[in-house]
Amino acid sequence: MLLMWLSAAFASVGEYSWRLAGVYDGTSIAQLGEAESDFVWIPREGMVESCGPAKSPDGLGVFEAEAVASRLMPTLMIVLERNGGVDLGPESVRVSLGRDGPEVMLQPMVEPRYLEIAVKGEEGAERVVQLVRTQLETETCMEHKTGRAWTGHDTARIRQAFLLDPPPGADRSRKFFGGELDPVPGLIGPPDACIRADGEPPRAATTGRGEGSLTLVPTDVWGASNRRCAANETAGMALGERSRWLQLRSGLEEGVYRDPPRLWTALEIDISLDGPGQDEEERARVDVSWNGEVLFADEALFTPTDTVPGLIDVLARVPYRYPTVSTADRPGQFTVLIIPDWQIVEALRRLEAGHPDQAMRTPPPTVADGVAQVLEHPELLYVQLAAESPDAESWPNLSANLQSSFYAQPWGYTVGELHGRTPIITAGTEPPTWDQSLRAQRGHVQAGVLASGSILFVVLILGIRRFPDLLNPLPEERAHYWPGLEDAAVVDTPANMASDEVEE
Amino acid sequence: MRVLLRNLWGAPRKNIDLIVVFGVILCGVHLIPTDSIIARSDLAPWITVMVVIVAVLRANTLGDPPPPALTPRRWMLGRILTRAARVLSPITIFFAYDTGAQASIEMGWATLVGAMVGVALAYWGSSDGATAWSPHRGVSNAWWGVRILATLVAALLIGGLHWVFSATFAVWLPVSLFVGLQMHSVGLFEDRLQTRRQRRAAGRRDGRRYSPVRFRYLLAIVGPSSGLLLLLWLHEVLIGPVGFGQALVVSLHVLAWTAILFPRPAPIAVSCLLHEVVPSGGKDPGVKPGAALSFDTPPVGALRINPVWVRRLRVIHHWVVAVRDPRIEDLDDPIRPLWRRRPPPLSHHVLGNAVFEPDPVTQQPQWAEITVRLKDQIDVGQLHQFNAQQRRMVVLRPFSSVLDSLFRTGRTYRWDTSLPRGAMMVVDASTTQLSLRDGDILILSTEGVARAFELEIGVPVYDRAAFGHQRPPQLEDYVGVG
Repeated sequence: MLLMWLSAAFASVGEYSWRLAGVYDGTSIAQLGEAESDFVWIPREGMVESCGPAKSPDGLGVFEAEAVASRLMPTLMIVLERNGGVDLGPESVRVSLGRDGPEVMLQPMVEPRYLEIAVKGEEGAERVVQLVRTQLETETCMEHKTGRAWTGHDTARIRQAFLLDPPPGADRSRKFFGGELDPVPGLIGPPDACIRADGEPPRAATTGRGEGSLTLVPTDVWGASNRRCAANETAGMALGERSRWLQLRSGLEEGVYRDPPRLWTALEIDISLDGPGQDEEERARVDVSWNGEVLFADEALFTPTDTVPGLIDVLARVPYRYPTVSTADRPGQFTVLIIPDWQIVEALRRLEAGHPDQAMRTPPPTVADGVAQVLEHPELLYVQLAAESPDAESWPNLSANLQSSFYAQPWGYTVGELHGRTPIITAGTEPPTWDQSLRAQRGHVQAGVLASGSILFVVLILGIRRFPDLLNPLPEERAHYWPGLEDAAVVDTPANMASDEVEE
Repeated sequence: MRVLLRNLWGAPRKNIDLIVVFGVILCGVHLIPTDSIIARSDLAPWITVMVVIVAVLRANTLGDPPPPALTPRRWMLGRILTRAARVLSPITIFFAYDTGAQASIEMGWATLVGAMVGVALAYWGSSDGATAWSPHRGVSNAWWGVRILATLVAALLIGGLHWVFSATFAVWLPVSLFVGLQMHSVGLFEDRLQTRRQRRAAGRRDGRRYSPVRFRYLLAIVGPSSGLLLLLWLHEVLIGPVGFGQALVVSLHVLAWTAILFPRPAPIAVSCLLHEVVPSGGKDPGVKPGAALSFDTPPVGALRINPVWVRRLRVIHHWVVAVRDPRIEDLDDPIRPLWRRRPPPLSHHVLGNAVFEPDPVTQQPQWAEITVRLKDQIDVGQLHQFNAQQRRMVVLRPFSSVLDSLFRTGRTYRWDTSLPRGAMMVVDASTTQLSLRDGDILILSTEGVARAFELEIGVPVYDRAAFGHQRPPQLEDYVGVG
């Protein structure tokens, strides 16, 4: 029973619906394996036709998913194991860095979405419908071109996130994506979207789609459009064409890997003019549902801003999901939060500068391994799960095990259990070996710590047991003469032996 | 309660091997690959590993030994073969269990091969421990065959239960029965039908018919099984689902039952050493040659022996001290003696009888403290016809127990601080009992000329043949007291 209690005390099992199963540098661990990565970002053909060619972010030359798969930069991988909870997305778990609390939010990579978009409007709302459709086409095309998720924000942040504007300051370098106002989640595979508009002809491409430039240019945005959905591109149907994602493999059961189903999802937008006011913008109300789930209902489509009424960002409210890995009998058992190094470097620099809310104005002067720094100082990391009870004041921090002052020195033991043997997940086609798992979880270090702790415990017990000996007086016995010692001359002491040599 | 506490206090010392095993498991269990068969979530392979460790370290027969009058044959290779068969036993049972649990033909073949190899090893090594008397002629192969078959069929059925209850709360019932069956199986070796025949033929001292004791067999099955079932169910209910993560709990459980079912046997005697020592002092500051000290200055230096400040001479004496088993022979083994047998010589001492007496509280044998029962002790002062001789025997104990430290008695000089109880035992005419522990210094002085011996309690002797029937070396052979 004592050991059961100890096991439970060291573990976070059963406490929350997800538990922290590992925190490690996915790139350095993957380097230990022999398998090479063959992941190449292949955009969806339909998106290339309608939106133009996909373009990797400037300065890196590859998409972020490719950079992770090809081990071009350190990658912080946080593995969460399901303990009965539902799938995780940005709305249910957040990762951040901070000194005495979460200060700088990080954006782990997310799964792409396959959207069958249907925008309907009542009679008289055709212009508003067209506005919403254009907005969605622009945003989905931006996702396709940059391989980044659309999460919405103000203009400056969006333009930077999608690399239309350089970072603030004079330095225009975007090396390692430094200098962005906010981190942006990357996609682990190419997205797709189409418009369901029965009876309407496809929209003619009136402008260019940025074909001539490797970097993102305004025509990439303004020439964007979505194709009409084909018959097999309806919600619930699997993708007709194989779409490659960044593959994630678990070492739990070798050879067992199940791709999560990649299905089309329905984004239905219904616009009505039921609101008060004179203009269409004032009267327009919108109902949005995604895969049958109502995201919001009867909401004003235009929200007042300082200058002009702003169109609400529908796509930013469609939830993303973090990638999962299944085992043979437990679908979606693990959720993997993949955070590229550039986000961490930026966050660490902001913390060091003392202003977490302000973006650094220049990229880091040298190549910096922010992941290693976080693993060295796990007390900086916060992995917070959405509060399961509405009464809860704050989100519980799953990485609290890493910050325990009980251990005094964070030896990197990530899972908080007495027996840290949870497998890891790496990007690639081959599952990680057990040696890679052990290194990621620092299993050998933990064995050493446990062995040292055991020895220390024994020494401590013996020390306590023998402590009274320091205080007790020693018994002594008197005698006039102690025979047994031979004549000093015949005892083989170094001094005598030296004197013998001198005599000779 | 006092007995229980004393037993708990003494348990780690007696089971240090099991504690070391658990420490190694604690440090290394997480290094086992998750895809290894040992890490299976039903814990059956891990239980098998633990029972194999038990079989190597401790396992002994659960049955009665041959009559004490019969000397068993000792054959080193046979002992190794028997131990190998004992190690193979839980593995074969695991194969049979998996045959039932997974309906696997391959496991069935493995069971067959394991059983055949185990039987061959056991048969080959059966000469070790064999005794000469065969009161009833007949082969015991059928008896052994039934036992092996029953064990394998039981494993198969328990595996079948696992298959039936898989993915339910009740799956831990067959797993718990599995550990009981394995613990029982490793205790069956060296359990000979011939031994029972001998005991039955010899009869009991009180004239009644001998009947074999079955309690330990029953305990070996029921004890580990019920305990593990309770633990696993409690874990399922209170903490969470059971898997390989609870391997440490299972390990601790199996090791605890090992300590109960297969306790370390008490040695027959313990080999001790007496090192001659002299004070390692001298050159004390303030002592000027030829200058008398004032009366209020305590004497220091080589005139006093400090037990932690001694130097060993290269003179060592061997001393074998018997360990006395407190149990009454008639109750412990009620078999009628086959013939009169000369008892082993007592380790008689001129001062008294020196033995490791049983613990006064638990009545369990112990080999940490020698008790010397003094008799006919000659007084420290003796007046001869023309001479008066001053003799003195003192035992100095440098490191007292915590309990003894609480009670202060005696001192060397009046100005010294009082010593812990038992730190200095002066043997005089009124002394009837003397206790000696590891590291104690015996000082014998005559007319101020002293000799000192440091006691080192050494290796226990388990083999009666090694103990021999001759008089072992005694203390008086070296100290020349008397």
